Amino acid sequence: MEDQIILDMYFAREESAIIETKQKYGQRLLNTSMNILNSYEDAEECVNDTLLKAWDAIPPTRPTSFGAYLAKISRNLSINKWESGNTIKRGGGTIPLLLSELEDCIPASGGLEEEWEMSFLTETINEFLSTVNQTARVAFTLRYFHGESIQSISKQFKISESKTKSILFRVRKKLKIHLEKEGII
Amino acid sequence: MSIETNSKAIKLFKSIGNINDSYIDEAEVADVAAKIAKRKRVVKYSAIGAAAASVGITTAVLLLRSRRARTRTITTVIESIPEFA
Repeated sequence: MEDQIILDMYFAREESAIIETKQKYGQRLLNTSMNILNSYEDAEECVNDTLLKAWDAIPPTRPTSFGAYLAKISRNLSINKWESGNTIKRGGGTIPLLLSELEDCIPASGGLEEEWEMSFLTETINEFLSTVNQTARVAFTLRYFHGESIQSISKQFKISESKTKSILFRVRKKLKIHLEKEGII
Repeated sequence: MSIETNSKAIKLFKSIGNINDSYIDEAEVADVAAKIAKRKRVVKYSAIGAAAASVGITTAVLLLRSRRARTRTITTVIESIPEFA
């Protein structure tokens, strides 16, 4: 079902909008949440909470990209759940690995340190992503937004895992240079 | 990883969660395209399999013969086999 039709159902307060949303986006949201949490129960809870948040927010919100809107909510909820500590105790998710990779992007500190303000960081990342080629940008998004594994990304691009790692490594290095240029240290 | 670096990495990771919708949509399309390409390959090989079965040979044999005939498209694969000539 088209997103605009589903959104119209939200505006009409038809509860079947939730069913249609889950049918269209449920699996994708579950995959991202599972990548982060490595727990089916926790991931399913995040998906259900995402649907509830969408129901509460729409209307008046009418997202221009419904899929991206839901993905962001689900990802944030998953990260919050990870931070709550329960998932860590169960040894779940890829976040520790992703964080260790993102460490490559953190400029060396020196002199006066700027506070890492989130909205400015996001703006800088968006600006950076507009400068890289599509393959690198998609690989970066799949890995660090969706938490996809190297193996999964390699299969999607039909390239070797070492090639995927190489692409991501170069993107991280470029991001580090970009952050340094923007004065984020 | 130091506590400070870890804190920055977490902030960076969270910030990525607010990237432009267009980048998220772009990755989604790439993902879907890969799945469609996979389905097309499945369909293609299913047709070859059916063609092979119709003359009592395996798909592997049919593809081997087509490789010898240096063909690639599904039509020429099938037509390259003597049984289909």
